[in-house]
Amino acid sequence: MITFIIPAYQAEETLKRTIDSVLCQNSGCWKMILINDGSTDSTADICSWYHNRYPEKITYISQENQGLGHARNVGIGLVKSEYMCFLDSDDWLMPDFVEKVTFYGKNYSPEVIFTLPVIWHEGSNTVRDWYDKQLFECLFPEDGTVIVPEKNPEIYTMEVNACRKILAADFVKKTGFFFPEGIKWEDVYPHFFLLSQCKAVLGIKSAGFYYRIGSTDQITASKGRDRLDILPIFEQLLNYIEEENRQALRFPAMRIFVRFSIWCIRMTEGELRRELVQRLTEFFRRVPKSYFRILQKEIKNKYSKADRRQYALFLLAIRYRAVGWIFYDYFYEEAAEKLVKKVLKAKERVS
Amino acid sequence: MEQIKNYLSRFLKLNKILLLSSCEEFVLLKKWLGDNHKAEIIYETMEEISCADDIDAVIFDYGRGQELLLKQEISCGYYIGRMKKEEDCFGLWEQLRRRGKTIYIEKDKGLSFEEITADRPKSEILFWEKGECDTELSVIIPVYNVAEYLPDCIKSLTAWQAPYVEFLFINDGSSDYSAAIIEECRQQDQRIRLINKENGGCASARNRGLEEAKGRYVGFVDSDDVIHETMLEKLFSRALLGGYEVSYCGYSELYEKTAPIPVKNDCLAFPYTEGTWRPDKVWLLAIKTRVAIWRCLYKKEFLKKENIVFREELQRFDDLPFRTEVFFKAKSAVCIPEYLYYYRLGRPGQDVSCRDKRLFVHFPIFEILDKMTDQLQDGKRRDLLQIIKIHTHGYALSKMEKKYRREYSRLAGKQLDRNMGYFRTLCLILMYTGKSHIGWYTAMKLKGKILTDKKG
Repeated sequence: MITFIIPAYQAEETLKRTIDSVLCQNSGCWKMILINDGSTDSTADICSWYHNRYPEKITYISQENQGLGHARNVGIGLVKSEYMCFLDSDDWLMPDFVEKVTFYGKNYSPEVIFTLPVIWHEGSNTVRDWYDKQLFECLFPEDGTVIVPEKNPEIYTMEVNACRKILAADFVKKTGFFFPEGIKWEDVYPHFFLLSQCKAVLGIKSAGFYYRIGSTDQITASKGRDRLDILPIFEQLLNYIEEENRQALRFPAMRIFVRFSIWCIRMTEGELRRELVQRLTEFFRRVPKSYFRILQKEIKNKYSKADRRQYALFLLAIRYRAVGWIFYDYFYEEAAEKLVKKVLKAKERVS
Repeated sequence: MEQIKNYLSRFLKLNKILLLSSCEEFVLLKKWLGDNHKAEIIYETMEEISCADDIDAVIFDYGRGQELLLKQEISCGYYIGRMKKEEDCFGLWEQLRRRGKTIYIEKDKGLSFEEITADRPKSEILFWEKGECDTELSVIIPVYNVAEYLPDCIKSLTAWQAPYVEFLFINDGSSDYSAAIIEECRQQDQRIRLINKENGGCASARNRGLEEAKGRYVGFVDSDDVIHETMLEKLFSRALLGGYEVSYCGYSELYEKTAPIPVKNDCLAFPYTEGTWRPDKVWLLAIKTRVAIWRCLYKKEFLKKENIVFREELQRFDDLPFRTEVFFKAKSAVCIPEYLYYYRLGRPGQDVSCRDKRLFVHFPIFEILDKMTDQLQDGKRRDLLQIIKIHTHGYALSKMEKKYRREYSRLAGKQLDRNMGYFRTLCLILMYTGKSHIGWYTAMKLKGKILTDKKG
């Protein structure tokens, strides 16, 4: 039995499709918890309509707006089945999702199950491969492959999305896990926490959900002050790794720090960008030197030229305040990147 | 096949599905459908379809089943299928649109495996749902005292025989017999609609047309110009396949005596030829293309959502803010690399040829655009706007009569300083336009006087 936790905030356009996709599963082994997180549109009506129609299957909770993390935590507290799965209100499941998950869950009883979602681009109506499909297929070549995170640290470098992980309820209770509340980017820390706590992970590559991109009202597309929420998340993760002394997590965590920082800086504008860069600089000063060394070693072996250049430039700029200003504006950054490219090319020619 | 499965997983109310192929993937699809849908699946590989009653959906394959589909007149709600690059997707859509409610065709782009990336998917989707009315495309033609050129224009427009187009002539209070000519043509062609209104300028006529338009896509054609007879069909079919918000083609300048001259410094290159969904690429079109709004088709839903209209408060050149706003707010664009629109030049009384005080209209235009980009809160687009300013003011100064230049350059300098300083603007010029504009910009910065002498 699997319970879907669906927090919904201002989701009247997409929520129906999400709930329908669960109702239409070809296996009946599921339950659903709908959490209306203080929406002001007709989301509440949609939720209560479904709840009245299927009262045994669907639990409905309405609360004041407290953020996605809090809503998910409320959901976790109500789960009574063996497995739980988070589902966002704009995504929808493939029709054989529950069947596959139940089958593998019964046979292997893993603590965490990974699925492989598919990206659906809203405007052009096309589907695309999930960001880490190659790595996933490498780690889990067949449905039902079981992996021990300690022996395969690559698993930490997978996308941090919380919805793709199906968690065993016992495991969640045992570890006392909950999402960080009140801030955005709530998926990052749980990803590392859960993976480092669990003994075995099972992957099902043929099951998944459709992940919507290309819409402006998504969290990842917002432009406000919540960009800065990334810093407490980074702090939390860094403290966790240092306190528990988990060596294997250092490279993936550092990779996440750099990638998210670059992405975040690029998406932010004006004064906020300056503040973000300054605070990130402060953060990266607190990161121990060994992290930088590990990252540099790993990038040398694994990454493409363009990635390497980007990482190198970022690390340089973030460590030395004199260079840091190039990130204050996209324009200086692009110019700097061009310059680095030219210098490297000239170097190659000389050698 | 991924695309079709994705589409099928969005709803599950089908009772009877007809599969028109026997290839391996369709055998798998049949199994997948059988496992997941509570529907009866008929599987046809023969020449004739035997059980064609009460079917909800038909799924067809590359090169198969399509002729059969048309010959046997199977009618159902959903037509789903996939096609290869060389197959005529638009032709099939024209046939099926009369029968079905929803058409969903995945068309392969014919890319090799290495070419496919996250920003460049391997196929495009033609997704069409029957609308309330039968019109798909509205062409808006503002008319003001152009009786001389009107017959040519109407003839070139109506050469395309598609029934789902409407031609909206907005008569902006003409004093000649333009209205009579349109009325006469309307008797022969039912697709023509004539709306008479009081004179209010080109912008108000186009806005009126936007309000009246019924089509999913809208286009604007000027009443003194001529189009290639395939222009509308090509633009519309390209925009429909993939659901692009803007589609455009190249244009030629048409003079009285010479053959049309294609306008070359206009971006008709990759990735726009293939269609792009990257917003940053679309923004670049605002500086890469000429201000020529009439060779484009726009998705009406998009114009409505972003609230893009023509600015009636401007006396002229209202197409510059429109073009800029469209490309700054659009998420997707596609281009047809052919010169299909003929833009008539050398007509007396055209705004394009003015050299006097009328050029000062650029200042209110950029005030509007400045406000618009402030709302967008985006540095990149603000920079692109600076480039547009440089282009426009440079062009105006080179054209303008000498006596107005000093005043114009003073105002232009003030406007260019609004968002950023000299150094940054210089960097932007170097990055986007090359060296040609540095000279006058620096001169203007140093002293207005030098400029007026040098330019002359």
